[in-house]
Amino acid sequence: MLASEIIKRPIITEKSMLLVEELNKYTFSVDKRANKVQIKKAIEELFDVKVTKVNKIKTAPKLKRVGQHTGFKAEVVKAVVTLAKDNTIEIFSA
Amino acid sequence: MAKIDNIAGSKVRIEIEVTKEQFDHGLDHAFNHVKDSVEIKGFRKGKVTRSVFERHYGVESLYEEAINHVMQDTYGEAIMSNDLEVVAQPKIDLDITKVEQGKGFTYVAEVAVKPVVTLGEYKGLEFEKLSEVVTDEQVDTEIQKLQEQNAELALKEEGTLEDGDTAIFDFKGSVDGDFFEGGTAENYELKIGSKQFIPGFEEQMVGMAIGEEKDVNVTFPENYQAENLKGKDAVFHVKLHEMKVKELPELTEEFVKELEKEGIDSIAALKTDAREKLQVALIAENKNKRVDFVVTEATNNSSFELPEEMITEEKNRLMDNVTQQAKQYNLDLDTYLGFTGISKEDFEKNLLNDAARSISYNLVTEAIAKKEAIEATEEELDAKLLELAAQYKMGIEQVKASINPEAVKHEVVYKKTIDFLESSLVIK
Repeated sequence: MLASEIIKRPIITEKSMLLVEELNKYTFSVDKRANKVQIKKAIEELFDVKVTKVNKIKTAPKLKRVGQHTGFKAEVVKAVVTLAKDNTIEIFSA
Repeated sequence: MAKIDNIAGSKVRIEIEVTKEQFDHGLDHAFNHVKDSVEIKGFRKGKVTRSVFERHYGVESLYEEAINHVMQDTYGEAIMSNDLEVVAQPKIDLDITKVEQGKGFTYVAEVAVKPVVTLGEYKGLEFEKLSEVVTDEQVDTEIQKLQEQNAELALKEEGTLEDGDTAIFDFKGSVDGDFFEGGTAENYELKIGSKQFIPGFEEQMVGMAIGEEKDVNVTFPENYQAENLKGKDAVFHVKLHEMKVKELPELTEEFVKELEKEGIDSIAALKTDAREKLQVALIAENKNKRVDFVVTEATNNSSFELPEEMITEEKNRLMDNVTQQAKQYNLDLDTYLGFTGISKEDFEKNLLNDAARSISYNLVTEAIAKKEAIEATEEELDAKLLELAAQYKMGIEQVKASINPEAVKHEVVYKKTIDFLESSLVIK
C-alpha cells in the first residue's frame, strides 16, 4: 500500500490537540488494513519525521437506523503516533 | 510612543506607535474575548485552541478587536502621560491594510482639547450705577396685582357686553344648516377676550344686551382639531342670559385682613411688605445684571479658539435636557417644538449659540480662577454639600456618594470667581 493510502487524514479535536501539546503524539485516521509498522513507515515518509511508537485504536461500527433501514456508522481506525523528541508535524500547529 | 502636535482649532494631533508586543497582547486579548463564543467541530464551545481557531477563521478576524483594545490602552496612556485635557471623542485615522501580525503599526488620533484662554481685561471694568430704590409706583402695581387676584365677578344688570366681561349664554352651531356635534351648549360661561373660542366669535358678541339673540358667523380655522369642520363656515345662534363684570376689591383694612397674610394687618404693613419683597428682587436683579455684564465683557476681552466638537457635545447635552423635559409631558421633541412654535432649525441654532456661550463663560471663569488662585476651602465644600443635601432631601453621606466631588468643587469655585469679578467692578 502507498503511504497516502494508509494515512487518510489528521484528527484534530480537543483531545488530540492536548496529546500534541503534552506528549508529542499525533492522531490520524488510517486504513484499517494497515499494521503499525506500515503506519510508522508511512508517517516517516510523508512528514519526514522520526516515529518512536504507534498505537492503534479501533472504533467499532455502530448500528444506526433510519426508519425501516438499518446500517452502520463507518468504522474508524485511529493511529496515535508518538514522535521522537523535537519532531513536529506542521498541519497540527498553525 | 506618542508624538504630539498642536493643530488649528484647539485640536491636537497625536501620532501613536504601537509596538509588536503591544499588538500581540491585543491579539491575545481579542482571542480570549471571542474564544467563548466559537464552536468548531471536535472542540467543545470555548475550548478551541488558538492555532485551530486561526486556521479556521484567519488571524485577521482578530484584528478589529485587537486594534480597539490596543488603541484604548495606548491612546489613554498618551493622554495621561502628556496631561492633555480632552473634551471630545477622538477622530482616529488608521490604514488597516498596513496592520499585520508580528509587526507594530502607527495610527493618528485627532482630538479636541480644552482651549488655551488668553485673558484680556477683566478686573476693574466700569459699570453704571444701578438704582436700588423701589419706587412708589412699583409698590402700587404690586398691590394692584393683589387686588386683581382677589377680584370677584359681579352681575352686570345694565348696558351691553364689553371686552373683558364674562358672558353666560346658550349657543347652537350649524354648518350648512346642519347642527354638528359639540356645537351646542347651554349656560356657557365665557370671558370675552380670552380667545377660547374660534377667532371672530367673541368679537361679534360684544355689544349684546341681556336677553338678546344673535347669529354669529364664523369660519373654522384650517388647523382646527376636528377634521370635518376645518375651514368650514359656521353659524352660531347665541342667546345671552347674563353678563358679569370683574370688580376689584377696594383697598381697605378689611381687604388686607381677608388676605390672611401672616403678620400683615394694615395697608401700611402690606405696602412695607411689598416694598421689601421688591427690594430683594431688585437687588438680585441688579447683581445678575452686573454679573452678566462682567462675564460677558471678560469673555469678549479674552481670546481662545473653541473646538467645534466641544460645542456640538454641549449642544447635544442641552438637547437631551429638552427632550427629557418634553418627555415629562409625554411628548416627543418634534411635537414639543410644535407647541412652542419654534422651528427645529431655529431651535438647534439657538442651542448651538447657548452651548458656545456657556462653554466660553466656563472657560473664561476657569482661567480667571486659576490666575487669581481662587480655590474652594474645605468649609465651603461642606457648606455646599449641606445645601445640596437639603435641596434633595438626602443625608449628607448619601449626597457625597452620589455626587462627583469635582463637580461640586467646580461649582463653588465658579461662584467665588463670579463674586470676585463682581466685586472688582468699578461702579460709576
